[in-house]
Amino acid sequence: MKKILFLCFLIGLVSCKKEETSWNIDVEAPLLHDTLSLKNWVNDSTLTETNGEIEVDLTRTLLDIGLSELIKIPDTSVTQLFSPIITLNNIPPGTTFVNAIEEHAVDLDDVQLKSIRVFDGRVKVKVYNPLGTKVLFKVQMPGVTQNGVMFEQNYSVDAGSVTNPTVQEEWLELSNYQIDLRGVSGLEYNILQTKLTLTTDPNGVPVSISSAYDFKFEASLSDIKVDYAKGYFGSKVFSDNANFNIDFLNMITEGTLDLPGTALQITVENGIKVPVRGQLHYLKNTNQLGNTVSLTSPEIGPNFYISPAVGSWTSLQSNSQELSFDPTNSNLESFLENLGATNEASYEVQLNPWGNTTAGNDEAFPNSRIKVKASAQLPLKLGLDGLTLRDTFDINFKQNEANTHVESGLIYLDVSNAFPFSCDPVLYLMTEDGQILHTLIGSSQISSCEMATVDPIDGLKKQPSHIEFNIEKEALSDLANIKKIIVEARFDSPNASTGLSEPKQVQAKAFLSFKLRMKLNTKVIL
Amino acid sequence: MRNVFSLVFSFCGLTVFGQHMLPLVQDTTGKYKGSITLTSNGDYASNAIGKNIVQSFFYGGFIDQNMKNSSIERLQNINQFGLDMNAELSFRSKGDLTKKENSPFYNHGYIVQAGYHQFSSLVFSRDAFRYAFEGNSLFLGDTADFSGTRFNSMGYSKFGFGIFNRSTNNALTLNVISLNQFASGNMETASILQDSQNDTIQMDYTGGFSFAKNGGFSKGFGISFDVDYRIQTNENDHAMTFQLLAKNIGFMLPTQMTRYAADSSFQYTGFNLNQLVQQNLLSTMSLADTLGIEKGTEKRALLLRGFIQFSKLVDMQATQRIQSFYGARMFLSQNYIPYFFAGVHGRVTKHWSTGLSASFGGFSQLKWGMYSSFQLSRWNIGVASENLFSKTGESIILQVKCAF
Repeated sequence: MKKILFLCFLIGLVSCKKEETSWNIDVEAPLLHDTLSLKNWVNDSTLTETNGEIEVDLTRTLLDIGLSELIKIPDTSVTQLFSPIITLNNIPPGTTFVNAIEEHAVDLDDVQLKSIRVFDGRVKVKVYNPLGTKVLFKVQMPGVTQNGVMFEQNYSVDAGSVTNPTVQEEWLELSNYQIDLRGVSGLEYNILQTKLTLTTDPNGVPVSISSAYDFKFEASLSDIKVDYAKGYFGSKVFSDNANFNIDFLNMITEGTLDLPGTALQITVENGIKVPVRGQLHYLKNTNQLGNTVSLTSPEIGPNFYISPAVGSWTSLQSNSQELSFDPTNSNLESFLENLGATNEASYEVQLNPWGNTTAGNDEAFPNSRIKVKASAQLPLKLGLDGLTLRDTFDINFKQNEANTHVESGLIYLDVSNAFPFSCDPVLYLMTEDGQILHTLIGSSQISSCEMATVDPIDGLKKQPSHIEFNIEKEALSDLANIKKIIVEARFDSPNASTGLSEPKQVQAKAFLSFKLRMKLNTKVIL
Repeated sequence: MRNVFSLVFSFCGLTVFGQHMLPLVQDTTGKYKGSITLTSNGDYASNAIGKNIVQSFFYGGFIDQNMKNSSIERLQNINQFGLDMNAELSFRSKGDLTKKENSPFYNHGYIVQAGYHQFSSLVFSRDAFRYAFEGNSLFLGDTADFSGTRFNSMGYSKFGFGIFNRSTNNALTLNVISLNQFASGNMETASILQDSQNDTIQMDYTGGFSFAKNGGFSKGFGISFDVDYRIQTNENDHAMTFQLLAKNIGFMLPTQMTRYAADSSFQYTGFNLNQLVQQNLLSTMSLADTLGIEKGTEKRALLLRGFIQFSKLVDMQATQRIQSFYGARMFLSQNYIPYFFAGVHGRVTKHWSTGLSASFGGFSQLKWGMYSSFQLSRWNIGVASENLFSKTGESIILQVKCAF
């Protein structure tokens, strides 16, 4: 009975509910707030302030190589063998056979090394005993020393046979070993030396050794990296077409930027005691519209030479050559004002351009580097004339008009601008395939600080602005189809009196603070 | 059309008030062996919320600013809204329970009854209403205070068996209760401060919300009793009957609840660019953590929202054509204030009686009521309203009684 009653009750309720209950409310809340200073815009560069004027020192390293790139020691295996010419019978226990020092050449192409120091690498030592009793192996590598002590390893290898010798192997660290590669005579280069000494088991029985017995050791050097080298480093050429992108500039779709008083330097720094030749083939950039501008200057094309570094270890001092470009010797201004997001530099650097003129005394230390750097000094005195930045973001907002939803909205932006630039923001709401459905134009512009007077508290000009974006019902109805939003901002650097764009100096400690808030007229539906 | 729906709604959905609310009559079916009575009641009232808003919740519709403004004009610092809907079917047999004169049950009949009750109450602040129906814009530069806002809603079905004295009509009924719905919440202290610049939202809150957890029709069981005690007196040679009525006095056994509680504060100033870029925005889970809301379970017994009423009844067999009735009622709810009523009853014809009433209390203030009762052979049909002309509530009571 009670269920029937409850059912009747429910039917009564449901049958009465012919439409939804709804009402409208206004909801306001802060969305975003932040303060952007020059540090936010040039976070990979150095800002310097001179007499209240700001200069951006932008540096990119195009090439940075050290010993590990210059001198590559290939993985090398050396073998030393002891085998008697005649059969030796009844050799008493504890008899020692000393093999002569053997030399092994390391293939380093045209590099001729006299000495190196290993900072990382290892050697695998492997010994073979074909004798029927235990044998003591002493493995030595003359010229390979650590703190003046020669590399030496001793192994007691159990009995084996000619057909199946007993093998013992071990991996050893070579870090911090000095290797003299001048051979036994001390006049050669790229030579590794080894020496093998065998002793029959002192506690064993007399044995016989014939020519069929091969007592052997192998030393395999791998992953050898050096932090010091001396010799002749060859005439190797390092060339590259280095590309570096400034993505931010890709967002500029139109307008011009005036950059007076800029300078650019290409610097080749030589931290190795070896003569170096350098050559800059070209420097060019391409902007978002596809326009390419090449830097033209007498400095581009000719060879230039850099003397070897001087000093050693902690006292090493690099030599360098700087190619300077400025508006007087190049088209630097138009090159930079092309606003190229894609930049390309072609150059080459050569060691020992005249061959082995140091008689094999090239020398490199742990801190020896060859670097190619590009650096630019951009005084923040910019003239912006309709410079338009455009960026696209994916968005995915949904609302169901059968449920509680926003009917219209107002997004408002309050800005305090201490930059001498004005900005007209526009938002484009687009479909997935890029069709613009709605355009939201700001009610006013973000005004330049040139419109303000100096605040005596912080000595800055700051101009407040209030911009509103109305979000109409139609835009909200299309929300399900809106998948992208384009934020477009057109910048000018207006003269406060004439309104015409002209280069304006950015104030030291300039900032832009903003607060983004929303007011939404929401229809609540139950 | 809405009135038709109201009628159907009330008929289908409601209660017992014919027995204990207006018209309040002494039993007139003495010559019959028994009766079946269907009573239903739909009543809601507020001291502020307009009935046009409540009707929008019942029947649907858009709540426009004029409707809101009318309610806002009536808002006080603390406001009430209550809803009482119920339906009950009762069978009373005057057949003897026993023939033994020395038995305590001699001269007693029995009662079998079943019904469904829904009782909801809400106490809310002025700001809570405006925040909910107008949004937060009008609170910029101000503090919205929700402290003291609380609500309670309980729905249960009952099945009972009882006895009554055929001479005095005193009755006692024991009911088994099945809990169908329960939710309650309170904000002991709660406020939202939003500065005039819309830079900061500061929330401070202490409160909780809990609801019966188990799925299905029945979420728990309990017991209750109904008592109907009549007192006969004489005044100026006129017999008078007073009634002490207690309905649904009982409790639910400990029932599993899900509870959300918070005693915290939270400040929101919007996001900064780093948070936006890193998409380190609030997720649903972390939102609860950020707001300091703790979720838990608990088991607790519940007091049924029954009521106690004392009133003077109308005697349908009295010789005088005009009678008075009056009384007081109190629901066992902290959101309900004592309810007082009084009225006059007139017998217009042999078959038609009618009356007027005035009442004060409950969930609202002064209310006017009216009823009519039609006696047709074995049938008695009553239609009443305790709240006829109010802008903040409605009431309808229907009773159909058949004697046999």
